[in-house]
Amino acid sequence: MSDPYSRIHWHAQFKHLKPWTDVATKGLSEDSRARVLEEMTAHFEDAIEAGMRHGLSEEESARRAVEDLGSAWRAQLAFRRTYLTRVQASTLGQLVETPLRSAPVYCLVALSMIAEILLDAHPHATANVVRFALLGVVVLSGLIRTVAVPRIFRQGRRRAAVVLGGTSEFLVWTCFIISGRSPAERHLWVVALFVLIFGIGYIPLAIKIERQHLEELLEKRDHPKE
Amino acid sequence: MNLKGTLPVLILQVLSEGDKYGYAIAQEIKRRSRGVLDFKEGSLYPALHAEEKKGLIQSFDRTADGRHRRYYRLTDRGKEALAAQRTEWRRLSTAITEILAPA
Repeated sequence: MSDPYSRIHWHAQFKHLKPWTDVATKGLSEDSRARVLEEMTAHFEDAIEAGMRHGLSEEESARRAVEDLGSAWRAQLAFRRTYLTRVQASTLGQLVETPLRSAPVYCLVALSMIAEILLDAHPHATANVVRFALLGVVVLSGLIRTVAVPRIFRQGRRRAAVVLGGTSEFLVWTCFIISGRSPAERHLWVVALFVLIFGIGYIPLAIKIERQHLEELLEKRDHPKE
Repeated sequence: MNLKGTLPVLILQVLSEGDKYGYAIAQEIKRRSRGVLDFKEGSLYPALHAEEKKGLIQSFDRTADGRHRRYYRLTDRGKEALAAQRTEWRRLSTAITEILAPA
């Protein structure tokens, strides 16, 4: 990415504005961050020049300009309500734009499960049936994650797509882990960990996507002609 | 005075009088509120971007006086929203004034 800060008052920008924007844009995706930096830099330059026109030094103007911006943490919260964070943008991108990139990984998971079943058959037939069932879940979840989810998203059912994508990915890895022959107590911990990881990753994304979708629906309802 | 949630309508009002860039919007709000509102300029941009996402305003690039800036203008949808919010605000302020008036 090119330098987002301009050359005018660059010293003041690095000393005063950069610490503020670093906090305010923390975690935002690169596109969103670039947009915010562009505007904040222009705003800062205008504020410095206005201060200097009133007889203040560049340093004092810059200090006041940042003071007038208020809390960077509050701005960060507000920006995060409007924009996707870097992690959310990446998760959504993987889910919708590049779903097939994860296909080789799922194939590898399924093949390793088949190999494990064939090479290390359990003495009890029922246990092998369960392992085949888990294999089926992995294959089905992989197909849902790579084929169905992007289509559902494009149909406008965004929250459903995110929830389904997260659930299918969770199922792939959970089934892979519990199909092994490690002790059941360990499985529980791994599943709990997966629930936590996927919950943190997908639930806020689903909520944000749903809120933006609802806003669009309300706009369409209020302004049907546009 | 902190009037939470009023910034979007103030932005729409300022933009209804002409296209402006962020700093100019901030200065106009400050000037007209005469320092009564506790307005922090850092809160302006999240609000501008949120209104843009809702389709109430739109941004465009313009170079003026050798400076490249992002300007904002009110959309037709924004004009309707502003009219509705003005009416709502008048109703609300009338109601509050009546409540606060000595009995």
